[in-house]
Amino acid sequence: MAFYSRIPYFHQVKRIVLLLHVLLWIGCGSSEWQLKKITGKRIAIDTVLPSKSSIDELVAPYRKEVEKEMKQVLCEAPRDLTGKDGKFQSSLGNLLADLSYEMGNPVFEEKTKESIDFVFMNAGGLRAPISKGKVTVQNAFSLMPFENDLVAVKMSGEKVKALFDYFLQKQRPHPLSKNVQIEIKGEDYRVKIQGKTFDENQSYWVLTNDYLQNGGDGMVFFQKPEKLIGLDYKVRDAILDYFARVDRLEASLDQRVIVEP
Amino acid sequence: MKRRAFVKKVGAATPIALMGGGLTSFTAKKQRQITILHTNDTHSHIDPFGPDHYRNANKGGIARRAALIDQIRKENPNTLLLDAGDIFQGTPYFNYYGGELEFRLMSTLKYDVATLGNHDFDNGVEGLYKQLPHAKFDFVSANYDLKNTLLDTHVKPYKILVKDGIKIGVFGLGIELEGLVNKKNFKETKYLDPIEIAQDMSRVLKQEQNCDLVICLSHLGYFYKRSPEKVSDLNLAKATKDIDLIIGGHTHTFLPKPTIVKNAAEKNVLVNQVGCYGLYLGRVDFFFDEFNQATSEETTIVVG
Repeated sequence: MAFYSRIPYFHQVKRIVLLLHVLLWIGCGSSEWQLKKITGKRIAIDTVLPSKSSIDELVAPYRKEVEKEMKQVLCEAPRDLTGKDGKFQSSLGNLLADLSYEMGNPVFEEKTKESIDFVFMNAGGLRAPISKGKVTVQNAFSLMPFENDLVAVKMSGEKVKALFDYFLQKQRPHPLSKNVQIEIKGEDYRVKIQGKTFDENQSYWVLTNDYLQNGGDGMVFFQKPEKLIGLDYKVRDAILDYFARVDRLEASLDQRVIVEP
Repeated sequence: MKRRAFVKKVGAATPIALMGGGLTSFTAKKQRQITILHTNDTHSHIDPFGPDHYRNANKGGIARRAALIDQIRKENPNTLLLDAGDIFQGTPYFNYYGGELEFRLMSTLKYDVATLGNHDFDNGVEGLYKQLPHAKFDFVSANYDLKNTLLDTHVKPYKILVKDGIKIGVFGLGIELEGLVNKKNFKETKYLDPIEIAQDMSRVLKQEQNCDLVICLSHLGYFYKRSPEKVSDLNLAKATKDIDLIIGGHTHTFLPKPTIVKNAAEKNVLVNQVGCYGLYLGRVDFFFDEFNQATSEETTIVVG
């Protein structure tokens, strides 16, 4: 304050300076900074980089607990199983669909005294392949990292037809259980479910997961079903239970989908 | 004392301003550098991939990412660290701990801002809310209306950060959750049109808030070849103006270098995305000069 009083003309000077600043700001646009150059790239995170030890220490107790669980060996895979070894089916997709039926159907029968007709899921849901050799808890988590539940959907024949139309149109190896046989010839196809010719006037129980039942991956045919029964059984838990039950994972491409020349 | 400091500053500028008619006061050119580091779709990948992994053997790992970020921050303290969503889901760390470790680590790495991906809703709005105390960084999303959820007030439309006098506005955009996330998980989260929201956000940040940089953290996806009309980062860039950088996610797109797109005002926008699982760190540097009318307004862009 004392400084002001000693320079009586200061306020005037200040006003002029402020005015100049305001004029400059108007002239400059909104910013006093001008963007001159941008550089952009990506940097690989790999073995070239050192690890920050304090981060490793933070993770260590969590890792120890999880690793102990994950390393448990449950069974063997006699060959590599992937979701990409066929056009309309895959070894891994067949495994998932068939095991979901095998593990899910008894739970469903217990609940409803009815039976599942077949299983249909999405190829995108197979999140990691299983390599030949020991199969661990880790494999189950990698294959199915999501928390999805198995759900049984009672669908009209019309909606089941929409399901098969989708299957043909997408031309992807969407997991389909062995209870179904499809013969594809050009645009046409013939379907047998549980050994019987598919009847559009009949309803069917289809097992899938809650993500797809909610319209995930564009599977709108699962929505507004005649009936919906949640099994309270996670897809991953079905996988883990199956892996623990069998000695070897036998799965391959088979005759469930036949594409005629 | 504060007054005094102000007076001193103005006093010092006076002779130059008066003498040189203003502009010469900028002759001593000052430069500023803002470094933006970013990740997306890390999906709970904390440890590096094992040596036997079929595709990413020995790659990734958050402890390495931390070391790299430290090194970059040492070179330039004016660095921001951002994430474009899907922090959750992908390893047992998430299944066992629900995202606690992911958030604790990101806080330790000093992430500044993140947006929400669809998988961040995998344990429901409640599951995400429960982990928020572990996150010492901000979440932004401008097109999710979270008013009727637990996340209300915990997720802001945008955040403004100032680094070395440069004002940086960061806003978030999320993908439509219907069909992608179970309704029981996203509950009353309302999805608003991302393009309209982005047009509004960029105007607010650039014109009202006078941000020097506007960054969009997007979980919309880079581009959908089979549905080219679907809202995506490339379409967003074309339909808006005043965004400088779109940091994307969701489609796990490994861009070897940022894509340069002409926006609605024929200006360049950078769109970047670094795949997934923490295999890469994206880096974009912005170099500013103090304003000088004598120099051109052109901005040089070097990518790759």
